[in-house]
Amino acid sequence: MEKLSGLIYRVRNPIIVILLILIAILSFIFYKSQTFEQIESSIVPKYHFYIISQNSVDPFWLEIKRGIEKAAKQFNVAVEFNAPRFNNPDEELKYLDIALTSKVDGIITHVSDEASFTEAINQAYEQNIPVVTIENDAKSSNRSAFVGTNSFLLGKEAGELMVDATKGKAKIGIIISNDYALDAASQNLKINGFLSSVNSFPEMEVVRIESSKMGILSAEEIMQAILKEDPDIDAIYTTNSVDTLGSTQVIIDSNRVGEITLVGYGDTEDILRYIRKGVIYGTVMSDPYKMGLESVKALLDIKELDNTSTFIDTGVKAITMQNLQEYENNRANRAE
Amino acid sequence: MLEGLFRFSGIRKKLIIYYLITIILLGLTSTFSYYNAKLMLSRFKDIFIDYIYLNSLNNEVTMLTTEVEKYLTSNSSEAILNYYNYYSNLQEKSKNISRQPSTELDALMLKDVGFMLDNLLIEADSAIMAKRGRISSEYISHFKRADEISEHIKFYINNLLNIKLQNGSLEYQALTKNVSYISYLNLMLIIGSLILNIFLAIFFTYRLTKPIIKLAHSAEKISKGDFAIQPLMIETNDEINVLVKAFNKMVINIKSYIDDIKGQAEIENRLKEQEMQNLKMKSVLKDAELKSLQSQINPHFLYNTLNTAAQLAMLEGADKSSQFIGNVADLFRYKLRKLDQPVTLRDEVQNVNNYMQILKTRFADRIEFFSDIDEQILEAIIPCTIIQPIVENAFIHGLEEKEEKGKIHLAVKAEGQKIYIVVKDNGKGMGKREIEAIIFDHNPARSHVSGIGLQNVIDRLRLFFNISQTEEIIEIESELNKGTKVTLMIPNIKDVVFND
Repeated sequence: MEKLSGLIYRVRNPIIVILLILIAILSFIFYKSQTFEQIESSIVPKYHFYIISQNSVDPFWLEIKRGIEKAAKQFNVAVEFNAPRFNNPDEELKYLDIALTSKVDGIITHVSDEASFTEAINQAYEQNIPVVTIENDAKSSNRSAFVGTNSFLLGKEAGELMVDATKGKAKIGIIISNDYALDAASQNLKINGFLSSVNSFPEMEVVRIESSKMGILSAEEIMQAILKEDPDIDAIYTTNSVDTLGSTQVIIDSNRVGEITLVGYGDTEDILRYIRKGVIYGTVMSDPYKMGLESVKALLDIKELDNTSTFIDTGVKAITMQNLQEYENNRANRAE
Repeated sequence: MLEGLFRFSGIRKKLIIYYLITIILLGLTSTFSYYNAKLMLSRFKDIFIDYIYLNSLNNEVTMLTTEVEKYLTSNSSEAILNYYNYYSNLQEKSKNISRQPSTELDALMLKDVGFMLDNLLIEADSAIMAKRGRISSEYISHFKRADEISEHIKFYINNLLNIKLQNGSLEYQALTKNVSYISYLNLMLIIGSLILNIFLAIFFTYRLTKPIIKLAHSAEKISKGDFAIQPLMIETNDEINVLVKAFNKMVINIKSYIDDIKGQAEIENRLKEQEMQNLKMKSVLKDAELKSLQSQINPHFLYNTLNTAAQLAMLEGADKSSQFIGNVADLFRYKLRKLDQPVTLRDEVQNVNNYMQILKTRFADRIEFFSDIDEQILEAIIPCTIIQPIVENAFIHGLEEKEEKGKIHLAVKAEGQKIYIVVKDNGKGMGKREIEAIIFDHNPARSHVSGIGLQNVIDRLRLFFNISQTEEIIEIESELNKGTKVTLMIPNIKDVVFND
């Protein structure tokens, strides 16, 4: 004991103190270098949901993805995203097959081609995997629910915007996206909705309807043709964001800003910028973020309550210069 | 034994602590480097393990479908054996895949692969069974499905590999960055610990050896005989302190011993000096005494006067008077000699003769003088005015008051190394008391011619010959009414130079 206390007394020796400090520093470095790899997810997610989107580049789908991720985090669900890089129904079907073979707990899928998708969705139903369709529906399949926007409403809203913009007097050209002519029904619904708004104004006339095929370049081509062949067209309606941007580009290039009223679709940064500048009068927008959120909720309801409504409408919004600021603020808030 | 091993004290403890510090420092540094290297290696291994695993999975799936195809087309038993081999392998692998959903994408995908594997195996097995049952339509559809699934699996594995590669490359970048950082840190640590160790080595060595060197210097000084060193002030808590304390004590002790010896030598010296001084004083005293004794007699004037009287008497034709006065003058002339110069015995005897002539003249026939002189020894050296006072004593004390004829014998003879001078009278003699009174009479004789009494003679003889005992110088025999015999015994010395 005496030796021990003597030793402790000896600790006052400055060298020993220095040594102890050194050892402490070294052990601290040791400890730190060891801890930085021990970050692990502690929570095991409840379900594994499989998401198939139309493509992986469209801001619309990215927004849906954000909504899904948000919901996944909120409800502790693991989500796996799969999408063809560009629109490709075959690849979507392949993913659907993979999802089926992988016995996931639930599938959220975009439907490109109702006929072929219906078969796969029915297979899933047989394997007891609930399927929620998103943005585009396969009505005749055994899907558990559809989350999206009513296309007719979208068109109608756009028509109302057009009426506001042109004060009920316009010669209108319509560019619809018609990849593979798959969702013709939905496109028709949009046009019908648009027409239902416009038809009550006798001086408004739809002169031309074109369908774009290959993204932004296709839209530009069509737009140039319209401007060239029908110089008296002074209003354009586009039904997706890519076409909207392409048309805008042509209007700017041919120096006809202000002469042509453009009502489009989408809320990408570029589109919002053009709205602010007055190149685009306004766009209608379904709420992709909300779609993502609601689709996960619907699947969860099916898993846990075995019940959900078959159609979940996420609403339509019109974006014009008047509510642009408000819209952007909302979006910024949501991003956080 | 153990007690001794574990008793850390003093230098041993210091050395052990120093070595421990060094070892721990270097040990920590190298452990840190080793640990880091191992960590890096294991993380690189983690990256590659996934690749290897996925690759082998991919291969096995491909091989499985190939073997199934082979069997379906050729019915080969080798194919079926291989098939079962791959089947069980894949089954094992599928079992090991976690079926828990995860937030990690690669884990999710692996889970998918697991389920797909299960389905693949079911389909493949069904195809094989159908083939065995020879249901051709069925085995083809099962095989097609299996092929589809295997394509899915490969697609997924490819994606997984892509993801892993991406993550791996990211991780690799992070790791290499980390590695460079850590190797830099290692280098710094090694350099730091080296510098620290060198510093510690120097520090400890200086700390340990400084007192020893000091001690050595002091010891060197002392060995050269320089004891005037300051006591060493070394405050360490080890054996060196003990050493230093012992050394200091030793120095102080040696110093005090030397001081003691020096003091004693000084005292002895002083004593000797004192003795010498005493001796000198004594001799001076003796000298002074001698001179004072001799100076009692101052016969200059008397001698000159008597000489003149003798010449006068001769001129007037009174021969007897002239002789008598001449004798008296001689007597005094003898006194005028250098008193500190010794004389020969001859001179002394002559002086006595002179004196006796005077007495004879004075007292005519009332006194008779006989002398028996050994001519051989008359060159011996003695102090002057030695015999005359004794003869005078004999006359004054022994014969003066006597009516009948007085006789005085003077005998000088040699016997051995000694000279005996004997003065004998036939006077009234003395008692013992009187003899002692004569010998030890310190009052100078009142009526002596020379002013020198017997006591004085004895003293001078003693001083001259350096003999302390009175009895060795003089012997007095006396009988009342018969006479006295005084014998002087002196060493026979010729021509001795006395230093004064």
